[in-house]
Amino acid sequence: MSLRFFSRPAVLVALVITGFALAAAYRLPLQSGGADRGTGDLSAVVAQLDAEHRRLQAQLAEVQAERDRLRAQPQGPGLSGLLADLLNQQVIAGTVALTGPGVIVVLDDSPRRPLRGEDPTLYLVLDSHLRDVVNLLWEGGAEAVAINGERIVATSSIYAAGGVIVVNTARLAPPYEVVAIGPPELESLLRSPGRLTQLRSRVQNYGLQFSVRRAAEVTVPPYKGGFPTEHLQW
Amino acid sequence: MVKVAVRKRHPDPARLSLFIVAFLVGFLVVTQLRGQLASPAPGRSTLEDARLLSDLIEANNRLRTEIAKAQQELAALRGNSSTDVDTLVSELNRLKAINGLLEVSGPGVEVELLGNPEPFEMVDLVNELRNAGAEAIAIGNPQTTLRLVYRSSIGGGRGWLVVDGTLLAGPYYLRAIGAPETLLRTLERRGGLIALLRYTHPDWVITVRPADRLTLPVYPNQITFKYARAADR
Repeated sequence: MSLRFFSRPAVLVALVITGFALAAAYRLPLQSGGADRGTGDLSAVVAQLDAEHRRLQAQLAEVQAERDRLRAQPQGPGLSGLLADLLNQQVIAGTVALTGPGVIVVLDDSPRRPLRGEDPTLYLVLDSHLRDVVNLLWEGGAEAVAINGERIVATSSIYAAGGVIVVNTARLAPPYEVVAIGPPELESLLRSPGRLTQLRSRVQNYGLQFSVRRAAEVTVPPYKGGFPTEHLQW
Repeated sequence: MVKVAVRKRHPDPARLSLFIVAFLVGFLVVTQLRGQLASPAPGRSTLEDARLLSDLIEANNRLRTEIAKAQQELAALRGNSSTDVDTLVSELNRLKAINGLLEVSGPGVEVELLGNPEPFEMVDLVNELRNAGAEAIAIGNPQTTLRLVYRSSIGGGRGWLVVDGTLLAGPYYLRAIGAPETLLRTLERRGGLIALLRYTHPDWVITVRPADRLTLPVYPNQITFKYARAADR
């Protein structure tokens, strides 16, 4: 091959592009290495915040227990009515553990492995599945619901982040146990073929695990977080 | 991209080399493109991590507020004076506002939806508002506004929603009280639910606008407990 070959315009252009592509391809792994380091730092901060979260939760539980102990002591007639109202509002807000008859719904990822080229999320329980189950429970007259021990309150959201499902800032892992207190009809409502159709099709086609059973008595724990009211006027 | 026509009958070494270079370029460009297409994954997870982080910081702040409230109540119970009764009444009203049993007002956002959503899409939208930090939410159409509470459900079918037993036809809006900027930014983020709904339903018109002052009515139904009772501690 002569030197004249390399001086042809088309060849020059091709060489320049090759150079660019090589350089760009070389830089790529370096960049992702940097991103990995960033995630490592972030998870340390998350762990720290998590620890603080648990400490604050424990502190809140302690103050609430002391408050409840004082409330239980005999009060004047005016105050006892007020305290009864307070307890009633706390029950509605979800900060009191409740017990009663209900249902236990368990959802779990499919034991099957995705086929080559298939979307693996088809085999996983999604945040939307949990939202649909909770919405149906409310529709059926449920009075209290918790997922893996996280009480669903007025400000609770169920969303997917970083490959896990987050409820009330708690990161939950499968299996997801949804416990609800409510009428016995909840069981048949959850089993009815016309409801939860997306979840049902994943159960049928991809082996997602979904079971419903009625329970004579279940307990839902209290909500352990706070309520945002910074912008709320009443 | 460099295109080279290779005539099979005349294998010219220069052209063959050019062909190899072009092939190499093509290969590298494709590798590079695939690398770039794959790169949103770490980007997204970092974004999700950041979201987890900010949620935790916010949750911890809320816990501190809640601890302060419980401590005030505790002090009030110990003191039992008239100002202490005021503290208890103020806590009672705060809980009623959270529970949807008092009319509330404040800044926030209004989401207007011109389209015919399925119930699950509205459930997702309400969930998105809660996740964005909404402190109180109402759903409605030009005739009716319904306050949402913890046990609110959305049923019905496409274009006719049943919210807590009330039939609601479109056009729909959601009103949420909270930090307008945060709500707006979270709702309108790229790859968020609203972006997804706009993509899946190009004929819908979804508008999110901040509001200086929204007023949400009291939840119209009674919140009663027929099956649940306080668990013994």
